[in-house]
Amino acid sequence: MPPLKLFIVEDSALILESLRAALEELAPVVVVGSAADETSAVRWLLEPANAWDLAIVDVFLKSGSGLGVLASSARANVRGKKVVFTNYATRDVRERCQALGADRVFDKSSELDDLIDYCARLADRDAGARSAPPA
Amino acid sequence: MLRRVSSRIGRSVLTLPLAAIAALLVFWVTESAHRDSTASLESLGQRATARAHIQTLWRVLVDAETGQRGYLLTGRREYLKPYEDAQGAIAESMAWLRRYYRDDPQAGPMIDEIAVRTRVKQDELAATITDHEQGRIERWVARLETDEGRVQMNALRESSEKLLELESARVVQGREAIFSTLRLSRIGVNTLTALCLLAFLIFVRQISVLDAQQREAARALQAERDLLESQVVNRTAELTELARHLQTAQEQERSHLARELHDELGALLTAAKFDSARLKRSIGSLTPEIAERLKHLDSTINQGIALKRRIIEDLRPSSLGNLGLQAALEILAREFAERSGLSVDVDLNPVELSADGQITVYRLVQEALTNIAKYAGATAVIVSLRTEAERVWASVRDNGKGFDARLVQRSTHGLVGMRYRVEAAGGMLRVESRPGSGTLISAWLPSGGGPQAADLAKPPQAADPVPTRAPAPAASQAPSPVA
Repeated sequence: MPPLKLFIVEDSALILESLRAALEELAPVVVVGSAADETSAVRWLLEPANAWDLAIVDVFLKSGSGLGVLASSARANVRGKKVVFTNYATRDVRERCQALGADRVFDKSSELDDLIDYCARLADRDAGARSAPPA
Repeated sequence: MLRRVSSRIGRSVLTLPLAAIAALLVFWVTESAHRDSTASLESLGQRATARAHIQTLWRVLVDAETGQRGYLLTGRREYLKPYEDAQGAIAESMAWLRRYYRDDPQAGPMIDEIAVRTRVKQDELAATITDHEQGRIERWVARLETDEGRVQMNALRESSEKLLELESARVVQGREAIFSTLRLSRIGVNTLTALCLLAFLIFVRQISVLDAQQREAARALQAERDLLESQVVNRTAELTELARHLQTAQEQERSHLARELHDELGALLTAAKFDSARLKRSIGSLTPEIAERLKHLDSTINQGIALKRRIIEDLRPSSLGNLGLQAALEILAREFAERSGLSVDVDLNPVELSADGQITVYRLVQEALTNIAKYAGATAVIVSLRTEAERVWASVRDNGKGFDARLVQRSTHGLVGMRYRVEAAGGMLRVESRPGSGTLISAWLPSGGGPQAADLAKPPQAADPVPTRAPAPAASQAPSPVA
């Protein structure tokens, strides 16, 4: 099955690397691109030539904010799914993100497993008819 | 020169005694002058009387002689009246004159001489009259022809005139004495007047010197006071500046630490968590011990992350940077209500403030709430945030027991620091409280100077002036295909 195409918006290189390694190891995904700030993230995501299935967006970025990425994506009505993966997943943040069109919000410290599961499920669904239960 | 003399005189101990002596001197002079003058005038009066008596003597004798002659010529007794009257008058004047000249060495012999000659004349007159009465005509005619009478009268006149001259001379002397006394007195009074004037001038000079000294001293004192005051003003300004600097430095330090913790430590812990998750999935089910160990590892990492978050949150409230001041205060109020059990109402409106202003307001409300929990004994709190005429107003009101805002208490030290922060941000803080009437802490800051805090499009990062990004990782601007 073709792996799920991931785009990660994260400004810490260490976390980006860890996340990429973890996801690619534990789920049928491949990271097709990353960005560390809002402007370049939005530019890449909105570029029609870029194919992606899932964007994982951190709130804290080098410049701008993940919330801005969400807003811009929502306005552009992109096809891919967007989830927020942040260290600061309070109720208010979750509400705000979901109001801006995020499909899910995951806390970096406590919901890593859930993110992996989500990616796996998404990969299964996208891959079409798949009877195998998610990993 | 007058100044030198006057100051020397003014300070000398002899001044008072000398002045007293001078006064006594003049007093003595005028008194004795007065005494002498009165005595002289009195004696002058006496002298006039003496003159009168001497002349009376003479006149009376002349009258007596004339009477006698008349009687001798006519034989009529009425011509003897003056002669008879004369006896008494002569005796009276003589007695007076004798008495007057009793102790007079010069005039004494003269009056004696006059007395003798008068006696002689009187005898002569008497003898002639007796002769006439007894009819001894030849005897009295012979007596007349001897010229005796005329000689006697001349002698008498001579004596009288000598005496009169003596008296005149004495009168002149007496007047002279009076004049010289008056002269002396006049000199004395003039001298005294001059001395008084001098003394007065010296006195006035002393007064003005004293005055000038006093004014000089007052001026020096004022200058000293002005200098001290300006120093105080300078020191106060320095200290105020320092206090503000310390407050902002503290906040910047915190922000810096929060940033470091979040970026560096946060990333490390997150990476560790990822590794732990991967391990769990790959070897976690090998043995129960491994599963147990990995679970423990995960738990430990979680605790580390929780601790990091708590520390970061204390250093720099993340809600402020992410969600804006309005939302941050709402969260703060809610959490405070949950922790303390007090009823907290909010009246929060969107405002425009710089990042610095936002954190200042946040800290202010934080401090106020802390104080309420600690001291106020309140049941209800109202937190408000609004914009009014280019100013952002933030206030915290409680219905607790209040305190006397004029007294500086230990519990308000946090507020003192807040005052400096608010002022450093260009605003003002006010604390209103009365015992029993609750407390109102309010502050305003100049509006504007930052992006809209609750702007959905671009919620600001926890913006701090210290750029603390670690040495830029390889994360480039352009997205990097990693597949």
